[in-house]
Amino acid sequence: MRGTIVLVALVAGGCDPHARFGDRAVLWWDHDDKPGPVPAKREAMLQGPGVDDELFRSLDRVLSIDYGKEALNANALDEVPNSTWFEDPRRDRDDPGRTPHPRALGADALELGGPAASLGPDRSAPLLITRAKTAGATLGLEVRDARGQKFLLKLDPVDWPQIATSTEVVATHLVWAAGWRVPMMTLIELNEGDLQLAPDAKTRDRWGHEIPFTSDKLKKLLRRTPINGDGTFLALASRWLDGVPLGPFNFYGRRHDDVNDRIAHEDRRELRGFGVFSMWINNIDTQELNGLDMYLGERGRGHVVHYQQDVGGSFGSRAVGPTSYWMGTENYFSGGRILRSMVTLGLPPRPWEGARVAHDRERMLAQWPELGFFDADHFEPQTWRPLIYNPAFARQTDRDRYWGAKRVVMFSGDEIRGAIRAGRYRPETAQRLFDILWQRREKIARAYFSNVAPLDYFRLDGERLCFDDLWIEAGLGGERATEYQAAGAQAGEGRCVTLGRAVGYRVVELRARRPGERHFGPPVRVHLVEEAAGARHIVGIER
Amino acid sequence: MRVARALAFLWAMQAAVVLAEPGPPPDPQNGDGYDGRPRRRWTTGDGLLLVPRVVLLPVRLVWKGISYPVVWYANADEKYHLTDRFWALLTSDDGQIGIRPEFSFISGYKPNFGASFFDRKLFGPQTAFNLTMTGANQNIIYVSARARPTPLYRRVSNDIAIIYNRRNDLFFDGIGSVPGPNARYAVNAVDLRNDVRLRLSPRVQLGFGAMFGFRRFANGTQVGSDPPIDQVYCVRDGAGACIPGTVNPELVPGFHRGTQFLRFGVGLRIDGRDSTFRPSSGVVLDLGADYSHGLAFDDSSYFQLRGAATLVLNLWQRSRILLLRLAARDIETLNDTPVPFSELVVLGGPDDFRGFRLGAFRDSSSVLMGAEFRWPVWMWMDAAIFTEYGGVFSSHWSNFTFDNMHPDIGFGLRVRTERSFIMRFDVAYGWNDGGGLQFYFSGSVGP
Repeated sequence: MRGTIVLVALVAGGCDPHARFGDRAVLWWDHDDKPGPVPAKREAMLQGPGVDDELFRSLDRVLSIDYGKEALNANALDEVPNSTWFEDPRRDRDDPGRTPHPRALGADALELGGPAASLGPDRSAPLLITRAKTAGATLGLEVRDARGQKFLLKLDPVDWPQIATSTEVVATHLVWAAGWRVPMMTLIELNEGDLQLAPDAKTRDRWGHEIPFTSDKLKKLLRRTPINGDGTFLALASRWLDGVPLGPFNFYGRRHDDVNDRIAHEDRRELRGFGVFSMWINNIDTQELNGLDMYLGERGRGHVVHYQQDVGGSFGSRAVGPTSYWMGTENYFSGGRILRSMVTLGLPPRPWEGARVAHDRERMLAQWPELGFFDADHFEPQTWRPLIYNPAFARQTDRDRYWGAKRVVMFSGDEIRGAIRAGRYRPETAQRLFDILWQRREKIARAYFSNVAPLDYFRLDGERLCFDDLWIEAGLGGERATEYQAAGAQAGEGRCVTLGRAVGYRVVELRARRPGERHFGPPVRVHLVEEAAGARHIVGIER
Repeated sequence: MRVARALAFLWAMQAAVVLAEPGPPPDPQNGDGYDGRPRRRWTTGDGLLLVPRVVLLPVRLVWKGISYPVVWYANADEKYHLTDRFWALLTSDDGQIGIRPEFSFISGYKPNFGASFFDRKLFGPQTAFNLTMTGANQNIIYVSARARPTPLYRRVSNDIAIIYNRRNDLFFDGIGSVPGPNARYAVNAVDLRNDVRLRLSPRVQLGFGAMFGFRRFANGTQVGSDPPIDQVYCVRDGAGACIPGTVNPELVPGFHRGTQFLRFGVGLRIDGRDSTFRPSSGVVLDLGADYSHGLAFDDSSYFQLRGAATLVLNLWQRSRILLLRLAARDIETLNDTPVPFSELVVLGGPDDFRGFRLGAFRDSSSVLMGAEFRWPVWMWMDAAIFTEYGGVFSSHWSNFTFDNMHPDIGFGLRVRTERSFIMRFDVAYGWNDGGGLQFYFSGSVGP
């Protein structure tokens, strides 16, 4: 008996307290593109899924006590592998793990927002209108260019030039550069003569009945968009996605008839982390309707690809006009917050409350109408909310938020300016947008690089294990005075530690202490394998 | 020895792991974890939470069950424009003419449902005509027709109203500072009114009104433990027993034959608030006087003075508001005929003294003080906590004592849009007879 106890104690004490990673190559491509049958099409609905998420799923999560579960598709380096959901353009497509650092994309790539070949319509002939969206507040035209390529043209509301078009272009380029799949978008300048009606062009009336789209209706539609003095107007050309549209994906559950859809969407790191990226650009409209699944390839031999097809509800825009004073800080219905406000008699105040918010909003709309109600002063990452409860965002853990923040911090100032150039803003508006994005980037980094050790991009350099300190990279300070503590290695110079010889599996634990802090922060553990011949490789990172 | 063997085994296992060549990346399609570690399907946390999860499972299932029809309707509504079609049926294309549902509930009374027809262009732009019909059964009917034939922008406006009110469940608990036993009576009432308002400045308004009132009373119906009025406020025989079908005119003046009267009034309103819909600061002062003269067999002749002041204090950024109210009324009969009981000063109900039933206090004068704190709990909902302190007295507050004043407290919610009110809910508690827990719920829904 005593022997058994000793054995248990030895096993418990002798084993590493943290689960080991297998000595395997890191997964950088999730091959979720295996051939499968075409899944059933889901109807693109706004209200039903919105009510379901906002009212029912939010409470169901409370009742199921579904908290603290980590995302299921993070690889050994706590990164998201490329897949049909996410493909990081900063990685080498053929060998995504070749370099520890993501590469810079540069300002020009951000301005372009995707491969040059896939952009803008061919304007050598008028764009042929096949369908129009005239009912409701948002205006859109489905057109074919001279090559027969289909585009969706979106227009601005008459009182708010650029609020729909420029916003969506810039936001889409940023989202693309961060790795999520989006349709390619570009801004074009048109006049009425650039448009031609197809004989069978259609639209829908307010009751959804299909009716012919006539030149009168086109004129009426164009009267609802801002026209320049020379008769031109700005339009956003969104390239039609290839493949068979399958309707939107939900941020909860799986598409069970898709053979590759194995992880519940709310447990996907890239969908959880999209919440952090969305808060950066204030993409409040992250409901189901704005995602889109496309089936690529021949029937039965193709696979599903997942897009964030509409991020136009970003910055201070709601496409039909500027965002309301509360948007970005509150869901439509936040039962818990309402109850808390009632019980506490409104203490503390909600972020959208007070005359100051309304006053600031009015001032911003007067000064920078293209951006709507968008700033950094009223932004707090912890209190940011999309319009509708998002089951994936709600399940974010510190690691998911850290990953999301990392996607934000990757953008250099030049890259952000490049993306903003695509919006063709006035210089003062462009500068204002840059300032806001830069300040929000910093707020996000401060918020989410604190709960997790922001030491990353580990690499081996001879006897040394080196890393980046993303806190410093993000410009949050402490370049010279940050101290690093290493367990399982000797502290080295700068952001490197000396490993020393130790054949086998080992774990190096690192912590950082920022200037002014009394204690070292949370740890990050680097799992390494050192072979007898002295070769070492990193097999995993644990946060 | 066994320990040593175990150690050796562990060491060999570790060596076997680390000395092998790195393997291929995990294959999640075949069940590998993305990070190369075995997937932990069951954690200690899961085990600990098993019991509460099982306990909450039935609630989840019910919640899920509720979700299906709601989500189905939301989808059907979007697809077939059900709500839009419904409102389109009830509203003209320009939104100027239409019908809206109305509902109200006051605790102790039957809930009322009905509809309101509006026409905002009947007499020209910015004029108004409303016809409201609500009720609960054949004995509870409310019909009002209100017209404002003058446009809003005119300095002089004219409001005309015809109101018919029939109820058999109205509350009566005596006249005087100390409420008597509860009872219910019935009324058939018609009001014809014409009010002319003269806007002296954007904040000052002078009003002149004329009204014809007609009331006939009858025995009420039993509501809860409240008996019909003739079982309580009856004429009693020598033995003290109620004579069936009688109501004592000394206890309930004017009940027997009813009343009909002409009333002429004048009023001054100074409204210094920053907004009439959701004020956050300012003062409102209302002063008024009217004279009523009974017609035909009704010999009553009485004069009323009323005054009310409301102070709205902005506590924080026009979002936290404190309202302080003081109101007083006094009715004085000008001859020997007592003022009909229905025209006396009445306190209680959703509009003034919320911790008490509608009609809980009735006499010739009243004082009511109140404080209300309002704050937003949702973008489209404000909450309020309030307390009131008031009572009724004889003419000129002659028997005023603090013993005859009563407190209440309450909580309210107001659902609204940016510009209009949609629904209101109040719950209040009053300390005295006629008090207790009171609920009020009312609203008018429309796009």
